[in-house]
Amino acid sequence: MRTPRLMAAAGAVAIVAAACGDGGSGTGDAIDISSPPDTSITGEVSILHAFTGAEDLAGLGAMIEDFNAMYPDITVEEQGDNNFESLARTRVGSGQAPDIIFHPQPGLLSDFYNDGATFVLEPPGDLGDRLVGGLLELGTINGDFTAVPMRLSLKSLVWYNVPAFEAGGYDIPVTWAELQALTEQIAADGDVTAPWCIGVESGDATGWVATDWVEDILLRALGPDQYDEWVAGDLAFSSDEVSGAIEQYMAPIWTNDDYVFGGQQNIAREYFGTAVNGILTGEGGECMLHRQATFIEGFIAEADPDAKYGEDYDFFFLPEIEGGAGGMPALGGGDFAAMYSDNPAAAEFMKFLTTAEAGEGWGAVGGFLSPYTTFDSSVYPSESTRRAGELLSDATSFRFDGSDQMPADVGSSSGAGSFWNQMTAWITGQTSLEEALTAIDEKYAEVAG
Amino acid sequence: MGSALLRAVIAIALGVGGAYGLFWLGNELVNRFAKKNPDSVRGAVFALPAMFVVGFFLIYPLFDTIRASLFSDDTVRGQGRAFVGFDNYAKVLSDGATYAALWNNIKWMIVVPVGAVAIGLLAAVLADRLKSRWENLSKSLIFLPMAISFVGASVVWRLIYDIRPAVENQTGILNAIVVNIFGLEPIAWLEVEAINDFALMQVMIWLQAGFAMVLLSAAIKSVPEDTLEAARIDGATEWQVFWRITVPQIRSTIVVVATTILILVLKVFDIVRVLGRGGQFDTEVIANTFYTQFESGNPGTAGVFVVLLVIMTIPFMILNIRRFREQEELR
Repeated sequence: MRTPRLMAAAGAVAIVAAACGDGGSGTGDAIDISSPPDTSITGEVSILHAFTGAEDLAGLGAMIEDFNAMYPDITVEEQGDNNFESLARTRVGSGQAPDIIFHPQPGLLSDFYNDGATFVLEPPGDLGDRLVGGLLELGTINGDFTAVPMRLSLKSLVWYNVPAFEAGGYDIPVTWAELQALTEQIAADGDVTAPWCIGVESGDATGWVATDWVEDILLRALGPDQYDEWVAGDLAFSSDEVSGAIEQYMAPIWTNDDYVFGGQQNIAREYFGTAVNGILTGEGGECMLHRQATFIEGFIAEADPDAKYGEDYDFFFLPEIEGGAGGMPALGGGDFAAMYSDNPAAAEFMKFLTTAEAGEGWGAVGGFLSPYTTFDSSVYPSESTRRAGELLSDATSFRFDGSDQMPADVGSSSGAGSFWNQMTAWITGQTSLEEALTAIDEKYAEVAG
Repeated sequence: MGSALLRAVIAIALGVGGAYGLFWLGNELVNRFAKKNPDSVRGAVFALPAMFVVGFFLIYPLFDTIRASLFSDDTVRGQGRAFVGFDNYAKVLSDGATYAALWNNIKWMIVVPVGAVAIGLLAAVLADRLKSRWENLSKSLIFLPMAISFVGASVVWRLIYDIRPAVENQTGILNAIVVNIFGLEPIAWLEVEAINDFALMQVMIWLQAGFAMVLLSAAIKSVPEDTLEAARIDGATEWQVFWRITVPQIRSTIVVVATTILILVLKVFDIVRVLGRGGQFDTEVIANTFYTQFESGNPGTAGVFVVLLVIMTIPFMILNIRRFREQEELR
């Protein structure tokens, strides 16, 4: 700095102005959530979450009802908001944090942890064994356990139209080469306009669907260990491994006008929630295949309430990449509960969440996959959820959505140089793939450095 | 739905009633206690609530934002944010993306005020020549978009600009015209970088032209009829009357309207957020960058963008206030 005196003066003013900094409330002793439940505790628990859909709210309500059946004297106040991220930042930043926040993305959680707002938890010793592999580690920052996984979703699914698929005489692909061959075959047969429906439009989050594709492909081509390196910023986007995998497996589908309904240009214009509608049009319709997470079934039900799972539509696991890391790794997302006060009633709620039974109420409503391998899958309301649950527990490994774990500027922002932004720029032809990946690397280096 | 409506009614009642009550109370107190100089005391009492609100909700946050811009984006657990001086400023000002956003802001600052004033002026002049019933009707129609929020207008225009694959029917009215009447390929209004900025600016012009029209119309009506009459008698054409007689007499109103819209333009955010997909497709502007940075948990960098915005706004504020004072003196 050139002007140390001015700087010092400005600093002094600023420090005086910072009358009330954060108290670092979460930096004390760990909160014990491993002891047996104490159902006699009375009090109130406030929860902030990002759930706004009718099904999610019904599920959350069922979960709270189950909790109240055990703890009749604890009142749970839940608040959901469309603008969850801003609201959570504002409330935690101003010292008005709720007792518990349900985090849909680990990025915000680690920000709050670094702010000293998140309380460290002492989980039951067997929690890691009961959870789907890797989840305990996801809730752990710098060796501090901070968040209990409460709900999962499975992303590695390809949805298809059953009658059209059978009429074409196709087989479910189990390797990526078979998936590629299937794509070519469907395009050649011409029973539908194009093999795939792909849409990444999502308002100011446009591009995220592309990041999910990249993650699924990297997980298959490079394996979980290199995937983790990539997420952490140690393996560059522009490295031969990453760019090569995108070039080899993603680009041949995404950049071929004959393989995507409406052509490559339509990808950025198609809303992610309605892109799936194309597979419902069946023979002579728009497309056959659509890769999307379990949640898309809700959109299918909205588009066509009469469509039946197993008869009209079905899904298969996104195939293995032979010559890659091998195995059937599952990509997913999920919600994590973290504590922002030492309210004993809130600690009891966290204890409740460390049991597989906590999810049974919500599990019965739908739109919910349990993070526990010990979960009773007969609770699930539909065959599709049961099968997704099985695929999840049979997967050789589980990895969380990588972009959600990266710094927000890189992984979940519409800003210049972000993963979303650059994938959109690439697919609309504003930049080359190489330029796009280099721009993300630069952003990552700027944020990390 | 019903409860939301009820809440809105209560909020309006409380807001309007509260403001009324506050001034009534102030007035009563002054009448009772201020025996000497009641008028100047009354002025101070009436100005106080507004000054408090401005101070607390505008001045204090401004200084707090400047403070935030001097602290780091990242925190270390147990230590809080570190004081980094002007590091955030150095980072922002050395980033090419900042200048791309600034350039877009400049385009907005030129096109929107000029467009809104030109359309507003045209509408005001033409409506002035209609019978009063038709004048009111046409002015109401042009003023109508003013009642729509920026986000609402953006959503409306998003449907208008919509593009579907060429094999399908176009659902956006613009592309329906392009394809069915002109027989061309559909145009991606919001993606093509040469036109998407203008597609966005157009929304703001559509919203603000009504505001410009109302003020300019009032100014035109206050132009003395005898000056126009004198010009016509001297053989001036209507074109000359407008440019040489009317425009010079309403110049200060034009400047105030243009600078007011300019300040609004500097803050543009909602339209870019919705129609520009959060600043993608090279539609980024400073106010949106600030929001994106704040959302990403970077209060320091976000603060820098706010300070930039404030600095950009100040000259136009000064210009506007100066013009306003000049006008006041003329009265």
